[in-house]
Amino acid sequence: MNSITRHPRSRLLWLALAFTLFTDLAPAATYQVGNIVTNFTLVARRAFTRPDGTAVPAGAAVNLRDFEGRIVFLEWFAVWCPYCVAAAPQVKTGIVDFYAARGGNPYGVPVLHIAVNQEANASYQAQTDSFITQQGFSPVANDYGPGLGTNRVRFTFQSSGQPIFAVINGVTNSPSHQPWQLLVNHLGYGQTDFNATLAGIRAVIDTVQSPAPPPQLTVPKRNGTNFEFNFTALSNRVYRVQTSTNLTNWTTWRTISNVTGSVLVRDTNAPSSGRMYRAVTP
Amino acid sequence: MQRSVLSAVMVALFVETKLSRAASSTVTNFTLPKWQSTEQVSLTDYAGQIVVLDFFAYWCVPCRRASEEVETGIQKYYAGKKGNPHGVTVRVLSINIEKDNPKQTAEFIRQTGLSLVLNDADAALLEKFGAAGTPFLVIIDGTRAQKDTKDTRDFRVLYQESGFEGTKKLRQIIDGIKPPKAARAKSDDEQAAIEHATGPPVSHKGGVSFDALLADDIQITSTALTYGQKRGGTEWSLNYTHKTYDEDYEPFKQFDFLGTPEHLSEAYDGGQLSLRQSLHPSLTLLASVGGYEGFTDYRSLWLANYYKQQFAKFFPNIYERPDPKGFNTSGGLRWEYQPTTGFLEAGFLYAEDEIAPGYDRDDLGNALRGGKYLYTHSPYLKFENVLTSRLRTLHEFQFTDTTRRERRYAYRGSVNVALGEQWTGRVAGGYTSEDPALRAWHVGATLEFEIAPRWLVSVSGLYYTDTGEIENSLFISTAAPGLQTYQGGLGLRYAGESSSFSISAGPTFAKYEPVSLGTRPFTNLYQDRTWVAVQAAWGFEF
Repeated sequence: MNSITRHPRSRLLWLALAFTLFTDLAPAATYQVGNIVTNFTLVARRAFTRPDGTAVPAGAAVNLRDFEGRIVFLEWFAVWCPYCVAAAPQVKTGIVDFYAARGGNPYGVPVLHIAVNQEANASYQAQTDSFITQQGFSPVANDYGPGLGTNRVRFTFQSSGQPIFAVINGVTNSPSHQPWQLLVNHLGYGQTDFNATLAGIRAVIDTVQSPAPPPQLTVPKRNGTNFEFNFTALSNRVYRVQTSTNLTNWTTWRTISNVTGSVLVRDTNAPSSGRMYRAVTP
Repeated sequence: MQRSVLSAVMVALFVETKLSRAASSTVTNFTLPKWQSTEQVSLTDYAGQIVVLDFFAYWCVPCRRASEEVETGIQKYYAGKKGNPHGVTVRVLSINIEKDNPKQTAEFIRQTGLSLVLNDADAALLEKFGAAGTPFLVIIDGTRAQKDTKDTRDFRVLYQESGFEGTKKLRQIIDGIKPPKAARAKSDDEQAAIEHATGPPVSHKGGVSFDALLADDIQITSTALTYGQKRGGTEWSLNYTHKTYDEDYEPFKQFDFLGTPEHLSEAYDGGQLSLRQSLHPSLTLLASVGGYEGFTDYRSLWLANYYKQQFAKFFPNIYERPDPKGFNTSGGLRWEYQPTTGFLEAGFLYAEDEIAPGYDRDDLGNALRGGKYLYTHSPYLKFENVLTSRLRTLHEFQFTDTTRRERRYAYRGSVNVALGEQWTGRVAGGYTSEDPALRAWHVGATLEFEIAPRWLVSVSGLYYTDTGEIENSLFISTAAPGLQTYQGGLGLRYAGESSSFSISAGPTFAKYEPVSLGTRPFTNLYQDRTWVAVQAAWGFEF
């Protein structure tokens, strides 16, 4: 009986293995979600001002690394592509305006949208310009330019097709994600409701945490055997309060889920001296 | 859709055409009793005369008109002129074939004014002539027969036909009959030689029809002219069709930034030559050849304009101005396997079409032009059966193989029923299947009522549905989504002796299923529409 059941199963395993090998080998290497995206360069199609206040004239290089501290939402489009045309206003409502109204994601990380034109053919440029104006794209870049080839950046995300939506974490010291980590790599408008696709993308964007400022321990007080201090940190984060007698070896004394941002911490069994306290993120 | 409407009108113009049997057989003597009498009448009683037999039944709708016209247009006409132009007496014998309901038969005789009615109550004589359908008319030349002849081979049948072709046709034959004395010493062979030299009589047919299909944003008209000749066993007709399309092209802005509204105005011109050649009394050869230039339907014009707006300016080296055209040729055989009641037709159609090409894009966004030549092979088989005098059926099977398209199988059937003295009903249906997923079927019914002699009004309804075309793998699919149409119509028809005309009008409600994502740029093409269809046709013989 064993041999009967084992046989098809092992065959299935081989098939699965073969499938994995082929799917891994077949396409040209494109970024997968979770990969770290190396710096790339696009060309500013229109002048804009970078988040740090730097003015970027049309034709200047636009580097991924210029947007540190942001969640970068890239949208490749072509004016002749019906699904790009249909997607653009939905992205504006569901991503650009959505996060502008909320001052960023729930952790306060700003979301920066960059529209990227993929169509280099000269005969399309006038139509492309009116489309950009109609959609209010800014910043807007071209995925081509002198010395850059055409669509080289685009093809590192998807080997073909459009529109492409890529989301990259630009928060370099985020506790949740690595710097320049790829969060979303989506091709196409899809057969289902595109607003649902955008909701899924927002759910990912919303997990990017801002760098946590160090928690502060203030107003220490002794009260009999009690030792108290105020603990102030970002809300909705988990911290560990540790103790030490020599500032070298620390042991976790308590874990605090800080909901409000500020709590009173009380050690009811503190020795008269020689116990040091600190708080760390997990 | 407008195509089938048009062809239906053209078919209607020619459907009355039947081939005369080779008319040189003789008939043996017969004897029948007079209507509601014991008095016997024999064919030999009319030796030296021309005898016209008119078989009828009271329930046979077209018999009413035939009997009435034969009585006035033949019997009374020649009686008034004291015979045909050569002085030969003409006698119409009206023959009742229905033994039941004598009251209704008597009423029929009274209304039609028949002067001499014989009873062939079991239709034995009718069957002898090989006919099962009425009206059935026979012209017998008895000029060579002697009064007391025992040799009845001298009664020659010059004409026998199911269906009434009008008194004009009958008179043409009657007027050509000369008594032997007038022909003097000419032998039969010499007579035949004369007929051969002058040829059998030529009849001409012509027709004009006009169709319009009108919606808010799309208007289609179709005008057709037809002319045909029939001489002996050879019949041909030539048809010319001119169509116009006017469309308010409206891009679906949400999915189309490059498109702009445009008014499209295009024409179509097509010609078709059809030939029917009788090879044998029961076998007819059919052949047809035709060609056209222009868009064959409003949809292909709309799609071509989409491609023009998307590609013409941006890919001048790849885009081609569409120039749709094509030709077709077909051949077939029609076998009358049961005289006047059973027909089998088999044929084969071949067509080449140059269509407006579609365009696509490769992975890099470069334009690609699709194929533009279609080659179609299509065999078909038709059965037409007159099951009873009141019931007629037609079945048609067609297989179509077109390059780059899936094979298509189609069935169409219809049943004609005489419902009463003035009512005729027609039920038609069809089913089409194309691999892997397209299914279409339709069912329709028409009810026609004779409001006055020769004037008929009709009411009709048609329901059509399909599952939608199969989406092609193109970046933008042009496949139509599932469709349902509801069509209604009111018509008026005049069926005269040598001319006929009809007018009809009615609405069509076309309801599409929602377009799939790949077809979204064509949302405005595949939108629900209310069409108004108007048709008028006029046909005449001379």
